[in-house]
Amino acid sequence: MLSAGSIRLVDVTRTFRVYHDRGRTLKEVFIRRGRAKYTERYALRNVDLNIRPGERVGIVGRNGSGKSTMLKLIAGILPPQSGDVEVRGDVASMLELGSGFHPDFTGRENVYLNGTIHGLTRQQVDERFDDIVAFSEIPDYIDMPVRTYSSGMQLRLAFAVAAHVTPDILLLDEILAVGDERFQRKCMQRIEDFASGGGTIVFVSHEASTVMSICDRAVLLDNGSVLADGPPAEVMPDYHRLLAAQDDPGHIPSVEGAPAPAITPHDAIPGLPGWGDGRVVIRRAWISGPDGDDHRFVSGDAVRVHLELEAPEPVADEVVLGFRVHLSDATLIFETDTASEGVAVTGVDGTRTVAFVIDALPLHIGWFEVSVWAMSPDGAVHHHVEPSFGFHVYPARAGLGMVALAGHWDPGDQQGSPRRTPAGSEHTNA
Amino acid sequence: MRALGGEAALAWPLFRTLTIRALRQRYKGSVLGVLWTLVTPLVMVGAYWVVFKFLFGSPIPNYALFMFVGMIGWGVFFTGIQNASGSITGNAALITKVNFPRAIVPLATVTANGITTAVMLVIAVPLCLILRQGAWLPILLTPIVLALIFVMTLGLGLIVAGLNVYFRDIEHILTAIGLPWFFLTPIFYTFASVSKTVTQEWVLNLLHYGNPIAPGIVALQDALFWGRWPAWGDLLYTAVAAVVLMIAGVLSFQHLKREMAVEL
Repeated sequence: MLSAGSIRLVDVTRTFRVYHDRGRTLKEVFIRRGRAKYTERYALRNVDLNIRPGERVGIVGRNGSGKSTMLKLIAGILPPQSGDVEVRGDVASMLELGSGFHPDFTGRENVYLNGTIHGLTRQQVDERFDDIVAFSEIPDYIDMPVRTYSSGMQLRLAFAVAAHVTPDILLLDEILAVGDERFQRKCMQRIEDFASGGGTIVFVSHEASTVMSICDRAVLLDNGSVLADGPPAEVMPDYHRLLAAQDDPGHIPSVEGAPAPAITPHDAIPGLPGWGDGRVVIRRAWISGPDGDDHRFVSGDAVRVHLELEAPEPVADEVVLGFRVHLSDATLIFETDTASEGVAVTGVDGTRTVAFVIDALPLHIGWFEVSVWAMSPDGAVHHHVEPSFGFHVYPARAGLGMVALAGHWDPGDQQGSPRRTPAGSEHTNA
Repeated sequence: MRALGGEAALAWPLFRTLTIRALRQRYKGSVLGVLWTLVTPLVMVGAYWVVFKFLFGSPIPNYALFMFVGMIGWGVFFTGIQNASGSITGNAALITKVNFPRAIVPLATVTANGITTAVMLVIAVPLCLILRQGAWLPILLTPIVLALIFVMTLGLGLIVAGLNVYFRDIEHILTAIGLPWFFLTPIFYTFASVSKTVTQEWVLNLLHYGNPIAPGIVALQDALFWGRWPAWGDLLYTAVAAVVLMIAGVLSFQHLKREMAVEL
């Protein structure tokens, strides 16, 4: 027996028929009976999910990953094709604010209508009416028809009603963009109060920062399956990786296509555009990540910067290899070379690949470019390519900026300090 | 799965609110408001009176009042079904976003129509008492007959509301068959008055019992207009139809509601 506020999905599958040519009239149904063309598309495929009372779960995923379907299944709006959906307790779904509003009715009438749709009795609406109006901040308009409201006013009233339904489970679908920033904070506060009161929240969002700040658990859906499930700080990097993989590569500034940056005192250097004496040529330079991608990473990924060398003639001397990570405006992020780190690359003959190994990429967000070079210990440049390649970094946690500083907040000595997950800590400065 | 008891507890306030909404919505912003409920049938009765009394010379006494009484039954029934057919599709935004007992939507729609149509009784009952054709006691059966017609309408309303989600033609089909159905129902004639032209017994029986609403209308006219006790057959027929259609309506809606949110 599940207790109030818990949700259990057992092996749930939900498909949709995507009709190529939808027959919706009787004639079409009879004439085309049995041969209507459609493709069965999985919205959710064999999903298992257990949500305990009081959990704040963020469901993330790309468009079409099944997030909204999952919410509708939990809300009871859609039945699953197979499997079980068990929900205990009262559910309030804010899938679309104000969907029950009738434009010709006054705000007051709509409050009653919306309240009863969300399962309140008239008496309960009576009791909460003043609070609802106060929360919505539109007392002067409450007896005017809703069609005279601005869309912001409608949303505020709708949120106010929804906020005064007291469910065990609150389902939210990307609707926190209500009103101005101050009103949004009020909504967030309301949601946090609900959560700290032990209510279960299931929240669908595209926005990582909202999930990080509200939720203590994140579920990543892709193609109808659960890809990852755990603390937001652990799940969000996977989400960003998915998003990154989806980015159209055409939108990434192509470094190869950039105008040849270099003056070449020694003509006809084969390989990349650049300059140098050509005794050692960098045939190819690239960066690789955990899943073989070469230009999109998530902060904290283990990556390697590779330099593929070719020496037309054997080089007996040591070769100094270096690279520099910078922004496209040449702001230096990091630079190093083999000699300064006490590594000697010698005896280059034919081809060789040298790599710089980064255990955890400390960059946070942005587009970074890399320049590479090969030179002799006395400073004669064999080959210098600037820039050679670039890569994207997506954040693995909250915060802004180029570099991810590892660390966490220490809230100091607080009496009765509220429970805080590390992910929620960026609110400390509010 | 929500327990049935919980669903009923949730259903009542919502049913009330939606019924009130439907009532207010119908005449919101119109000057005459609920009076339109009377104006429309009165205008129709006037036109039919001209046609059938003057041009065809109907033998029925107080002919306009007779037609008006029949139209109450017809209005509860057919307009109720018609309104119900588009009720779910018309509330798609609600159905796809909030979970609540969906059957409330057509039920509230039919109920709102039943209430507005019943306003016609305010005119019909006093007039029938004044221009009485028979005893007054049978008038007491009027609410029972109307209640039976109303339950029939609820059941049929559930069926058409559910079907219309999957086949949007239902609404149009109802519009198309509305007028012929109206003419085949004994509203501006009685089966007795047409028995000279229609001599075959089986045709009359078919018109009487092949039309689910005909016995109810006849019983209503008997009780309210003619002041005589309705035939047992008509009452029993309507009662059975009410029970059967209600069960069929609940069962079919139970089945059809599952995939509603997908189809809308």
